Amino acid sequence: MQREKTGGFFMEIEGRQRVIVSGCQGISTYTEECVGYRTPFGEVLIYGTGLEMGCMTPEGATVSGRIGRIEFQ
Amino acid sequence: MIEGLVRFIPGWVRVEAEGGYPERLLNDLVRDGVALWRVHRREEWVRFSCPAADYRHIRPFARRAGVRMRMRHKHGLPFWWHRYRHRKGLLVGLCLYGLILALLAPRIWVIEVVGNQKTPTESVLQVVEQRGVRLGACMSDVDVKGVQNRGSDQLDTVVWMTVNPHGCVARVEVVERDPTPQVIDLTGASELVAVRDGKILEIESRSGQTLVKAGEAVAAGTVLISGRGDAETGRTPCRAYGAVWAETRRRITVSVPLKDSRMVAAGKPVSRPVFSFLCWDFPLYSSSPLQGEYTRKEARHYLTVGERELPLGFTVTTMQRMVSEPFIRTEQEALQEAQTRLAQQEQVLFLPDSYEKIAQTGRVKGGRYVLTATYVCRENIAVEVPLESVE
Repeated sequence: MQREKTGGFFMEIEGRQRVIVSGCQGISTYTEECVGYRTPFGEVLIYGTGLEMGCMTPEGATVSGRIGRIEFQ
Repeated sequence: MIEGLVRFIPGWVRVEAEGGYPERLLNDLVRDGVALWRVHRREEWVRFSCPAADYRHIRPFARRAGVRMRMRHKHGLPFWWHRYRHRKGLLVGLCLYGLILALLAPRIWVIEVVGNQKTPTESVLQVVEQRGVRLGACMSDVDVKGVQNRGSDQLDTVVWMTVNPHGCVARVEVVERDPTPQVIDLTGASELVAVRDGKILEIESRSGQTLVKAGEAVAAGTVLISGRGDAETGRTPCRAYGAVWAETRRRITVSVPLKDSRMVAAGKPVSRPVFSFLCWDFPLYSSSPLQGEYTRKEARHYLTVGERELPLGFTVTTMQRMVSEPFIRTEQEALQEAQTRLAQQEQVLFLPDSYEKIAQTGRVKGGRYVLTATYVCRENIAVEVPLESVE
């Protein structure tokens, strides 16, 4: 039910160190300071420093580093 | 840990992709079902790890994304195996290790018995052995429920016992029964009679009529505490119970022959080593029968870990042939031997610190040295005699 409302997209934030993204449709941008994901609601941009993707699968990805802000576009 | 092992077995590679559109490469790979981890971007290049089997598969995607790709590191079992493929001994050793581990790890190597103070450890081991607790047996074959439910039935002093497996150690825990208070049976009439002459020091009467007093001299056969009934006083027959301590005089005589024979070692000792492992013994000697009389000395050389002895080692039994040899004692030697035998007799007959030697004489008579000692003792001289046997 919840999944249907969000179009399968979920995001979990663990402090400022880690963001777990699931149900995204791919990466739009990837630098050390910004990681962008395409989602059913548009683009999600995660800003920070020393960003790194811990793992990446068709179901989702994890971003770790020092998270600065998260933005929807 | 498990994740690392899962990646190690099929192998994985660390890849560096430079230039072009790395985002497109990552998207294409993920969409194609390739798992990526530790994706790391710095300026123009991106590094990531992926399963070794997918490396060839990702090349067309790299071309399409316009990135140059190269492998930086190779990890995992396939690469490790490739490196050591010519070393067959390593494989044999690995297989042997696995085999030995699989065979020996589930077995009992050490049996520990805890909680027994009155019950001998050997008795506990005999009981649990019937339920599968023995060196070399599989830990899974131990009938723990059987030990718990029926183990204590065979030992009077044990109220409960169990077996707790700790790796290769079978820990037998024993809970002993609290001693039942002794109930004195006072039914049946009896009396306490002096077993030898003496001067009474102390009377501990629990039941019956005391007929003597402290300080009195009594002869053997004197009734000390009576349990007889008396029609005049209306006393009913009862069991006489107690102790009467008296000062007595005892004499011990020992004789030692001056001409005697003794066993002496003859020839070289024969060693019989046995290699033992778990419940198996491997004799390392030819089993020729030994003639004559031998003394037997056993020495154990087993591996230990901390204070625990492992069931792996040697037992060397040394057999020494003995022959009888006649010899003649001097009077001094005979006296020493007689005193040794006298001390042994004292330990058997008297309580510790309850006697004092007051005289000792020794002389040679009929080819023997005869030593006689006289003692003053403090002992319980009362012996219970049932009244029926008296009447």
